[in-house]
Parts: sequence; structure tokens; C-alpha cells
Amino acid sequence: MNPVHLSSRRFESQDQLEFARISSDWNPIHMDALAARRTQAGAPVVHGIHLLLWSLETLAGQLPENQDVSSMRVRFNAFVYVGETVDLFLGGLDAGSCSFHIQVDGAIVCRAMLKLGPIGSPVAYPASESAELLRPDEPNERTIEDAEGLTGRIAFTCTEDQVLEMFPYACTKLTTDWVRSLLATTTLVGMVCPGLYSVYSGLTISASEQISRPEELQFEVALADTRFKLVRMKVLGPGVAGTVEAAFRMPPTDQASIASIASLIKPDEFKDAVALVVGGTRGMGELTAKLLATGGAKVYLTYAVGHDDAERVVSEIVNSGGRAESLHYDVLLPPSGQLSELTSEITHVYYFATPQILRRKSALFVRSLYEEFHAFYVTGFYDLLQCLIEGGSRTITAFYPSTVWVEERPSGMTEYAMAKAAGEILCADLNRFEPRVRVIVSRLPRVLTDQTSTIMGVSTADAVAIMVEAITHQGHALR
Amino acid sequence: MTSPQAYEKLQNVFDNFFFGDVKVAPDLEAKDVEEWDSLLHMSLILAVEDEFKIRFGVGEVESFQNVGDLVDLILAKAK
Repeated sequence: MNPVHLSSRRFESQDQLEFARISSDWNPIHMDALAARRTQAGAPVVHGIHLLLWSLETLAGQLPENQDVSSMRVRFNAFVYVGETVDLFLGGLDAGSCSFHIQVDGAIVCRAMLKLGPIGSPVAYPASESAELLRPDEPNERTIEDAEGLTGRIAFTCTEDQVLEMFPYACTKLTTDWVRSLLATTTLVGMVCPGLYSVYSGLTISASEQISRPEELQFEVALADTRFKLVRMKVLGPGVAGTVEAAFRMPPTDQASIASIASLIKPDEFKDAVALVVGGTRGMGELTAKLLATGGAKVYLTYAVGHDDAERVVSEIVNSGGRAESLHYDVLLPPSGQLSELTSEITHVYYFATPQILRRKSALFVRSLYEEFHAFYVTGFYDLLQCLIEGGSRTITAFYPSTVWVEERPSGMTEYAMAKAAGEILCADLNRFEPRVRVIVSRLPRVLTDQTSTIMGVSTADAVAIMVEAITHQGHALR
Repeated sequence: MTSPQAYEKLQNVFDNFFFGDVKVAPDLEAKDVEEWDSLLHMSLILAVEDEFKIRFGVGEVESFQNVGDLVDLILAKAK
């Protein structure tokens, strides 16, 4: 059968809060915009189990009344961001099974299959009753190596009444114990193992006759694969048993400290420069701000949302004897009012403003995505330079970071490469027709930042070497 | 193990792994299967290793382009 659209909804911040309260999965990738910004997701994402339980709540009325759900297999394929509209589709339904999936903007983000029929025999599971009963209130910073052989017990933190209130239809079809066990699996993944740096990949779980009804989910790490940073855990709750799979994601990428790069730059290399580093709070922008300040430049580093990160970089520079200030600046807004706090004439601009680069897509070309990249990499850059010129800067030397992906064109990066290519054309024409602006363009390779780190840890170039080369040897005019 | 046996066994892995109907074939690539993304790829490799009782190196996992390459690797490992 063709997929049948069943329902749509958006998960908002309040939904996140209510789900965290009932599940006790307070992982910051779901709850904290600033912390999530420094993950591969780039912004808060909906709990996978919340998506699943919403689907089951919606589907419960469609399932045959005289059939129990005997097992389910679920895979979470992609992040779902808070505020996005998700669509639930029924893929197939017969006497023995039901398949469904969730889409966002046409891309499938979750797939699931339910088996309908008699529930299985009691499961003998060697969980250690002597293991500590966990009620985590902070996510554990575990590594894949720490996960090997781990066993434990996650206490149910919600009552039957609470789950009945939030997921009444799912509870009717699955039992409250099953729903509470599913909730405990997200606590397991998000708070215990992997914990803080986790991605819930999927689960396979079956109903079994009740042996006892402990208010807990027992777990045991069956596999901790250091090659792929994947963990597979056996889980056992009251009346359910199965396997949960999760990945360890990379922690936020720390850029080199000033102390470690001081020897690479002469102390007076940039002493006459007043530099505006747009997007200077992390990644390449942070590194550039530090290199410039080390060379004696006065640095204004801008942030759109990461105020604390900006202050951290400013503090490091100032404590090292450099000159730096932070400035709130959103490249998507008109620049003039935002730059009124500048007290010195800007001589140099380093433009690292970017939205999330690696994105979920449902088609080769997504117009809205291209327009978003274009606003950052073309319009925002041009408007800023125009504003600075009109505001009194006599000449401006700008650094525009393009990408080798303009040439290499990896799969799924069409809009990004197109927008950067457009930015390059803009830079070339600025150099041709705007005598007060000189732009140096460099096609940078993939370097390790929050934006580019992946679970598998793909090879990346040395960010320090790249930027030292970019702002010194390659760009003599930047001095 | 012969090549046809390996393909048959691999089909069992795929049947239990993918939600959609995915037929193994030498020239089948990840890009041909909508749900076969990078995270799923790693899980799939673990499932293949479980089924064939073998273990791949990271370099080997990154080296194959299609199912034919994967089966060649399985046969080499399973010798």
C-alpha cells in the first residue's frame, strides 16, 4: 500500500520539557540551545522515544483491537529539530504487522515495524541485582572504552498515572510498564550509556510474560565497538526485553589555546590591524581571533547566539595580554545598528558566519536551504562590507573562507557549494569594481570543528596550520 | 563458502536489517537505498560481522563501494 498520512505535529520547547520530566532524559542536546549548538545537531533535537510514543499514541486506534503488540523494531535515522513539523505515515497494516515512518520535509527520520500477536515467554536475563540502581540527574561523560561490560539498573522515575496521562492510547495498547520501559531506554542512552555524547540509533524490543514487576529497566552492554563508536545493550523491563543501539558522538571540538599558538605568530605581525572576526566564538573564527590577537591586532569578535563562548575567547585573549571585545552581530539582520558599538575603525574583516553546514535533505536541491546559505555567505558578507565602508572605514581587507567542496562537490552538499561559489564571484567582483575593498579568498579543506566532527571521525586538516598560512604567508596584504 | 552462499546469507542480514525490501546484488550501493545512511552503515557492518563471524578493519569498511566489494571481502575473511 502507499503510505497513508496519519498526523502532523511540531514538538516545541515546552514539549521537550514535559518529556524530559517524565523520562528523566535531560541530555542537553534536547534541552539547551547553547550546548546543542556545539553538537553535530547544531540545535536542540526531539527525543527519539518521544517521536516513537507520539506515533504509537496516534496509531493505537488503528491497530486491531484483539491483537497485542508482541514486538517492535525502530530506527532513528536523523535528527528532528524542535519546532519542525513532523508527519506520521502508516506504511502497511495487516493482521500480523504494522509499519510506519516519520518524515520531516519529505525526508524519513524514523522507521518502525510492529509485530502483532501473542506475547513471548518469560525472558531469563542475567542482570545483576547487586548493580547500583541509577537515578541520574546529570548525563554521564562516558567514553566507548568505559562502556565495555557495563551493567546496571535504571529506576523508573515516572508513575503509571503520569504515563497514562501523557500517552493514554499507547498505554492501552502496550501497557504502562512497556511505555515506562521505553522511557527508561532514553534515560539509559541520554544519561547513562553513552550518556552526554550520545545518539540513540534504534531498538528492538519484545513483550514477554511478566515474571515480576520491578520499577526499573535493567541493562547490560553486549557490545561496545571502538571502531564505530557504537554500543549495543540488552535491556529488560517489566514485561519487555530487547536490544538498544546507540552511538557515541564526538564531544565539542576545542580549538588550540593561545599558549599553544603563540610561537607561530610574531607579536607585532598585525599590530596596526583592527579586525572584525564575524563568527569568532568557536571553530575557525575562534582560532583566527586568537591568532590575530597574538599578532597584536585589536579584535572584535562577534557572536549571534554564543555569548558565553564569546566571553570565553575574549577572556583568553585578554588574559594573554591581547586586545579583544565581543559584539553581538547577526548577519541576517541589517548591519548598521548592530555595529554602532564599534569604537575603532575596522581595517580587516574575517567572515566565518555560517549556519549548520551538514544537513538532512530529501532532494538533491532544496531551495530554502540554498537561500539560507546564500543569506549567510553572500548577502550577509556584502551588506557588512557596505556598511563598514559607508560607516567610515577607508579601506578594508577581508578574508573570505570558501571551501574545497566548490571543486570536490561531495554528495549532499549542492546548496552549500553553490552558495560558496556565489560568494567567490562576489569577492572577485568586489576586487574588480570596489577600490576600497580587497578580499582574499581561500578554499579551505575540511578542518575539525563542532560543525564537521562526526561519529566516525573523518580525516580533517590541521586547522592551525591552515589559518596561519591563510592569514600570514598567503595574505601579505592582511598585515 | 561460495559466492552464491555468501549472497544468500547476506540477503538474510538485509531482510532483518532494512525496513524496505532491499535485494542484494553486486552493484548495489548505499546511495541506492534511501535508508542506508552513514550511521546505519556502521550498524549494518556489525550485523554482517555477527552473521559471518568475521571482523573488518576500519580501512576495509571504508574501502568497499558496493555489495560486490563487500562479498569479496567476506569471502576473503571467511576462508
